[in-house]
Amino acid sequence: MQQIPAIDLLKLPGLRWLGRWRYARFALQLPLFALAMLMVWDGLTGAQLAPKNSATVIVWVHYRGFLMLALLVVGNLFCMACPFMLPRNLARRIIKPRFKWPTWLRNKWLAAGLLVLFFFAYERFDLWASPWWTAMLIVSYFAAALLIDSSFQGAPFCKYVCPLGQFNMLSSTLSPIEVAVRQPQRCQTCATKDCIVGRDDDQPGCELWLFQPKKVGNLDCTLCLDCIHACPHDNIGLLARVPGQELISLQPRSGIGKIEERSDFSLLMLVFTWGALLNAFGMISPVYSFYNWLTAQFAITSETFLLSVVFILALVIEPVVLLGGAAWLFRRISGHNERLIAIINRFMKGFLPIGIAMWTAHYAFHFIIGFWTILPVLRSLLAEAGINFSWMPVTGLSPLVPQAMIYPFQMGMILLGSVLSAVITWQTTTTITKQRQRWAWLPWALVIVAMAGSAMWLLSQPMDMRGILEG
Amino acid sequence: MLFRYGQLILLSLIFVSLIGCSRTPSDDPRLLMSLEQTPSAMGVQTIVLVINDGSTPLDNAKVQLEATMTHAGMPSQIVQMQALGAGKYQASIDFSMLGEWVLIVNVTEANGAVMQRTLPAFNIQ
Ligand code: SF4
Ligand code: SF4
Repeated sequence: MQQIPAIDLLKLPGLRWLGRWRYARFALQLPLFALAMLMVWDGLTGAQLAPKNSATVIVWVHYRGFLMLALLVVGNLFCMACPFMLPRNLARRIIKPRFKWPTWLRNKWLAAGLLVLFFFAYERFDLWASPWWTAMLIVSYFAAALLIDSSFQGAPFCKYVCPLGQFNMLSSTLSPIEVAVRQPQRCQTCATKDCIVGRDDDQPGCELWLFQPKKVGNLDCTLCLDCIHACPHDNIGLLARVPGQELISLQPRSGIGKIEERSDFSLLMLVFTWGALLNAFGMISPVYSFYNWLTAQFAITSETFLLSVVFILALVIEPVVLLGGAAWLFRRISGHNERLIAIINRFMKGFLPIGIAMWTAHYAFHFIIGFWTILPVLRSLLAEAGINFSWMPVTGLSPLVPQAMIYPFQMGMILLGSVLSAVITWQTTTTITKQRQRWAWLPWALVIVAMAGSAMWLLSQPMDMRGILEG
Repeated sequence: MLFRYGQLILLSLIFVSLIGCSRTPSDDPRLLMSLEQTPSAMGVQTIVLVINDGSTPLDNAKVQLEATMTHAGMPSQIVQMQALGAGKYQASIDFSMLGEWVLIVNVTEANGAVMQRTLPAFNIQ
């Protein structure tokens, strides 16, 4: 039977230039760089009221919603056009990094810690409500990417540090496209392996150390296009695939190894998945009742303390109880004799879909409700530049779609994520045990039900955004 | 070389901060504003704003009220306030979501002077 050739985005008319033109990424980065500069300027010097400032509106309403939708509809487009890489890439033309990233940091522990730190700072300093802090966050990203990648070889900022990049890469496991070789047999006779080592004409190979013939899925891939431009045989494309397929694969991944055996990856996925629930919990009314209850119990009103308690409950105690309990039951039922932590590592990727679904449901809500709120901001920025756009509406801005459709959409996302999580955990169960598979899978299914139930409850609660005035 | 890049970033930041000095909307400290009652519950509420120019009630001004939340993403409501006399102005606002709100007052005085003030944020619970 003849094999159906995979759909290759780079072969579609209008997109071929992405693969052929060496400066394609630069061209995509430029507009985002200009937008980032505008947001930094406005965030530092403009109105310090979030809905009136482009930094807060674009970052917390548009960017996050667009990011999730793009990840699910296409792929990791933000990393592809990442503006933080622009000064770094230009600097690299002058400065050749001298150091190698320390071996003990070649893992996801630091990135997982930074992701927790980011979630904490987001709540503690009400980043969503502060144009100044939002601008400083953008500046910090530029500075960190520049400093780290000007000192260390490869792309350690993207691979080991950037919390945003980790977020995107984990979400892109459900993307419908991936960078992959077109004809695997061509690679077998390839002598130069330019896709990984780069070319003499200053075209780098994959700086994230993903070797195309052995690359599996989207993890650690920033869609930077370097490998595509480096391959002398035009053998790499943006190929369509079944979303989530890579979460079923047990193959070792180039530049990563087996995520099912890496506790650092498990922690990153845990923070991502449980962080989705925690982040939504921070914006609904019951969180304030809980804070009041905590204050009454401990007689401590410090927001840092209260937030720390919530974080420990959500990111340590709850997942440890749920995952530890499921792993223990799985071992008892199946007779599987690995350590609990090893069992959790194997199953952890199964929870990514429900985490991705929750982030999407949450961010899509803000995106849909607040899409047009950019108009008043744009109008006042243009007015400052002397351009009169007074016809642009500033009030009566409706959601992008009727509000009644948002909740069903969110429920649909959670259900879809739960089904995918169920499929992946079932597949993991059947690959690691032949004993009483259905019963052995049940504890994991119950964790998924608990998470889906929590997600649905969170999304059904009235939104309550406080920050500046605690309590 | 790294140092030069650091300098460039620092200079850019100073530059954007400086050109931004003139970006805040004009306020007029002579005008004293207070709400008769700070809203605290969800739903449509009547806002009564009292404006004094020094110790004299400010009448005959055009007052526009904008109600918005302190976080981005919720559309604002902008309404023209109705003058009640004795420096009082009234409008209805629908506080449709729990959380922090602010009121932004735009005043055009009879002599054409324009000012804007953001009143302290409050919680709708
Ligand atoms: S350079 Fe191209 S052909 Fe050679 S191994 Fe890499 S992807 Fe395959
Ligand atoms: S595999 Fe590497 S070089 Fe290719 S797009 Fe992904 S990150 Fe870039």
